Amino acid sequence: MTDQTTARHTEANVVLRQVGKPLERTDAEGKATGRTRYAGDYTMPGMLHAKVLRSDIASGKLKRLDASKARALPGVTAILTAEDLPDRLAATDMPGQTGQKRAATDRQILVREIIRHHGEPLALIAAETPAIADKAHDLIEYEIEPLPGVYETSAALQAGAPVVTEPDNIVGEHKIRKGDTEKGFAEADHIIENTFHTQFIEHAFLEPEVGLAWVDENGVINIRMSTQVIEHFRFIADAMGVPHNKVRILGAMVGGGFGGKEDITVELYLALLAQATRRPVRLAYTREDSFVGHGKRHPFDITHKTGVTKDGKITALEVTIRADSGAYVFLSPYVLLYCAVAAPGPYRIDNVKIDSKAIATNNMYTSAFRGFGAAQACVAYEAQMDEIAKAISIDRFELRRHNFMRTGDKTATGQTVESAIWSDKCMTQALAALGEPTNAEGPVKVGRGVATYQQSYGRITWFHDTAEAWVGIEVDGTVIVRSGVTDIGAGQASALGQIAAELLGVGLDDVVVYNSDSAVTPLAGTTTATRALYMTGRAAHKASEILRGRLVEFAASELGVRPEDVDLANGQAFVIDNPESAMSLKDLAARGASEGLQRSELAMFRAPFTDPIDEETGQGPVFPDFTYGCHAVEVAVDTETGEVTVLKSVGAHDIGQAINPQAVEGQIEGGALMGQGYALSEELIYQEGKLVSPSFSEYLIPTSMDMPEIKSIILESRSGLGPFGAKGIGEPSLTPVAPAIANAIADAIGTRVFDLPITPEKIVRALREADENA
Amino acid sequence: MEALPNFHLHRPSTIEEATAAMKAEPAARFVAGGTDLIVNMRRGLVETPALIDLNNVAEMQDIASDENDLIIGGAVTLDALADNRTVAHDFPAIAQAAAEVAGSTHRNVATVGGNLCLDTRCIFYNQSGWWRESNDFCLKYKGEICHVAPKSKRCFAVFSGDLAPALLVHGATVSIAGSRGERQIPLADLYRGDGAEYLTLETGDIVTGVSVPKTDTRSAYRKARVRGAIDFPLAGVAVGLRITDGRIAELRAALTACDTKPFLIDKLDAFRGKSVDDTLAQEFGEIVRQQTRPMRTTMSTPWYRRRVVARLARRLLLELSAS
Ligand SMILES: Cc1cc2nc3c(=O)[nH]c(=O)nc-3n(C[C@H](O)[C@H](O)[C@H](O)COP(=O)(O)OP(=O)(O)OC[C@H]3O[C@@H](n4cnc5c(N)ncnc54)[C@H](O)[C@@H]3O)c2cc1C
Ligand code: SF4
Repeated sequence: MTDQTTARHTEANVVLRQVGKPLERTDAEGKATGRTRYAGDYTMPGMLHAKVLRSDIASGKLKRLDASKARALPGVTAILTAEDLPDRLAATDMPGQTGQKRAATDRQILVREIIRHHGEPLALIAAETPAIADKAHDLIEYEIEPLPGVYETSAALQAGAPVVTEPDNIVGEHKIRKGDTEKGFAEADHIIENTFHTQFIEHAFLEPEVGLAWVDENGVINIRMSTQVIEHFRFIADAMGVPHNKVRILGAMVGGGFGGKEDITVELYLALLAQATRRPVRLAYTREDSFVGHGKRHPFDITHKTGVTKDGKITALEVTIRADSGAYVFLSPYVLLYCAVAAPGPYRIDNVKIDSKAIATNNMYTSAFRGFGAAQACVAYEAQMDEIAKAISIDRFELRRHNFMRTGDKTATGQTVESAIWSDKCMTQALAALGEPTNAEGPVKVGRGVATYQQSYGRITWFHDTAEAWVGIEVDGTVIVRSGVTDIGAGQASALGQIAAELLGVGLDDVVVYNSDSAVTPLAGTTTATRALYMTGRAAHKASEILRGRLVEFAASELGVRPEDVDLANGQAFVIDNPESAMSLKDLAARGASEGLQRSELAMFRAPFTDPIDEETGQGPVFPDFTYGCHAVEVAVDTETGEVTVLKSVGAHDIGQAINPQAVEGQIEGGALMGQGYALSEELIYQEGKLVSPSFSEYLIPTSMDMPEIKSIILESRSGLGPFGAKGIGEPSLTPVAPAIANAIADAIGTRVFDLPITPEKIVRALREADENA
Repeated sequence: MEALPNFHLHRPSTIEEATAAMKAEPAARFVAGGTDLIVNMRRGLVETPALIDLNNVAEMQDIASDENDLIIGGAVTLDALADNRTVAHDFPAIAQAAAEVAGSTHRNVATVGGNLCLDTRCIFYNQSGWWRESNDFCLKYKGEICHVAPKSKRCFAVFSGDLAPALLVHGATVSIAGSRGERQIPLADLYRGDGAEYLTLETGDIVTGVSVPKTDTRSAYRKARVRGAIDFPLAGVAVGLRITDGRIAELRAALTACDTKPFLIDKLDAFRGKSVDDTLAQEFGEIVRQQTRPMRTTMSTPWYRRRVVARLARRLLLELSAS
């Protein structure tokens, strides 16, 4: 059950007419009525059906691959193997906007010889029907010689370990040095050291990867698909060896992404098959394909060694971080960087030393996942805060208050945070919203926990991130917004409409947003990194503002007043001091059109640009800005069975400015439940690199029966870099949830489970160990 | 999950028609709610040209009572069973178990017969064809060895139905119709104790219903689980207790998800005549634990399943004696 009364804390004296209102999103009706078309709903006449043949072991050598029987099967149109794709590689690096040279991390498209992970694609099949494609799949003969693999990061670092990634399995390394940790530890009264472990998890979006590709009359390969990143058209073109303008990616409403549709998924296979067959080709992953086919969240081992004075001031922090990056690099170096930068949490610590490594293994490759390394960091630093409080017998909330960063403080990398840091406010309100404690009875214990956080929004600043949007007003006064942004279900498109509506004085009903087409809508960059609203929102804001300026000026001359006397609202331009003197936007647009007024604008927003941080010290700015907030929970733990029930769950976040508070609540509630799965039940189990839980019968995402009452508290400091002072909430809403639950469980049972997920079994074991030690 | 293969569908409206349909097409399978069978067909675990749907069979639809017994039709849905007042009041473990199965959309169609006959489970078995083939399949289906116990010639796939233990503590018998006519057997005899050939039914046998004697047994069912819905039991236990003059007249416990079959715990007669207290409950839990020998067929370990089932048994006994 969800508390619908959202507590909002808005600074006075800002008049907003559309922004900040829980307007019905532009995508709401289509979804509610089932009319929204997702990528899997598109078909074409003469369409073929594709399937991917995958390796069923994690480490091996492909000795023989014989597709002759499959090719001979009537109805099979094409079977592609590595032999059919000479010299081609696919990018795994961050999709850039700049044309910067990419990291040397390209991978084979199909296995040529060496198999590095379970599920690595061996062949692509296109056939007249899905059943024929299935049959062809079973008719392809292959022989794989197993090779020794490496499945633990510690083993991968040992001399003589199988090399998954040249030269030494280390695919990323970051250091941060600030102050003098030796001195800091000398000043400490206590030194507390703990290691925390997080697990492989799956994005588990409702909609598995799907797409439809065809080559059009201009020779352009069109791909209609479910993706967070239409900018992958460049990587696809590179992998195909065609010019960038010969590949077009069209998105559709996305049925969930969470980072799992940030890397290339089906689009390359579709492009290759469409090019080879010259027919439309559809590829829809099964759930199992999805489980074994896209990168996972990195498991991390994070060790915190913290020096603290007896009154709770943190004087020094050393963090050692290890991430399992699996068999291919993908975004691991960046995920690792996020984790390292986030490792100290929202705390001001003068002496910091952080060492981090991402290590290749023959496990499934790991890449983006909502929270992108910073979520794992939070699991460690917030558990460590509670452990410190316990060790030195001080109130855990006071400990946090004592150490919170304040606006103007510097992060561990020396970046000054100029926006509001309302960690304390958020924590206080979240705790208060938990209300009266629930009574515990018999073997059931009740506990509470919080986690606060610092999570970036916007991309790493040396990526020189930009976004574009186009805003135009039609001659009848209606508004069109065009922007390449992909809408992955969070209302990314609708938010742009709301921003344009605000600035142009119309209602959201009067705006139509076109998005997610790499050839037609201005490119806005990825819907990742909590950047979509920040970046495309600013671009739409900028375009709208320029357009507004022109309309206001034109209206002023029509109404015979100065432009600063004119405002736009309710579909009208009017004189502020004399609202009777007005003209409709319809008349204004039509009059303007006949006078040659430019009624549209294409604007680019640029995030702050910096150079990379220093490699040895990690000093320098890394992100545009950060969101701060807190999640608080109350749990009940059955100490006999180890079962956990989350009783109450509260997210309090300063998001700068809510564009649509209902959409923000959606993020907070979704984050709360996703974080619950991360904390309690979700884990991908790999044995010798082979996924043993590739279905929802063993991979346990929370059900509606597990959803507690979730309260969303939206605080608005209006201090962010996004439109109207917005920050971001997409990733931040998830980040603190799992550590808050872990802390609540520890509070309830008096001992801690140091590795996620905290299953009933681990709780029972931890309790038994605590008993034995007592 | 793979595509659902093609099959013929027969929809008999009497038991006789159902048996006849099976005789005509012996490779066919009965289907009721389909919540177990259809999943397994899509995974290639069940290959059959035809399904015989039991949902329209009139004789199997009702929950009725005669003087001595509660009679539950084999095609009664778990929702209907859980919502039935008499069941909830006089046979609480049965209603509780029915309400704990899978998720609400499953219980809407899932049946009593299907729950009693549901296939045994194992992490090496409940997988796609592609996945199982990479292991050269296993003893239970298409393969030569068991990956849980490689030296074993026997399959240990676990029976995880929720309803059976609740029915066992109530002393249920099942009615079976088949080519050999009708018969009644104690529910425990429905199971063979082998993960592969887990039922004693012969081809064409239908579980037409279950009879549960009316007694003044108090009962309760609990399963350990990770989530609030959908999960099969990590381990489940039903306890039945009859108290006369403050002392135990009869104590029964039955487990699920701990073996290839649901089973009644032995050696509980010794408790007769005693009164329930913490010490006794502890002893009872210990007996349950000793008789529980789960194998590594699921993600949770045998250690946990043994331990939790003993704790739950103890707790249920205390709760029942206090009620
Ligand atoms: C996601 C999921 C979660 C689940 N969780 C649980 C759970 O928590 N607990 C649990 O117990 N089960 C669970 N199940 C399994 C299943 O849903 C239930 O056991 C259900 O009661 C099966 O009944 P059905 O009518 O759907 O059986 P069906 O699938 O129709 O049949 C199952 C088997 O029984 C045979 N059969 C059916 N009726 C008869 C009959 N009258 N006579 C002879 N043979 C018959 C069929 O031939 C088939 O072999 C789950 C299933 C899924 C998919
Ligand atoms: S217990 Fe052994 S034989 Fe039975 S399903 Fe599991 S692996 Fe197969």
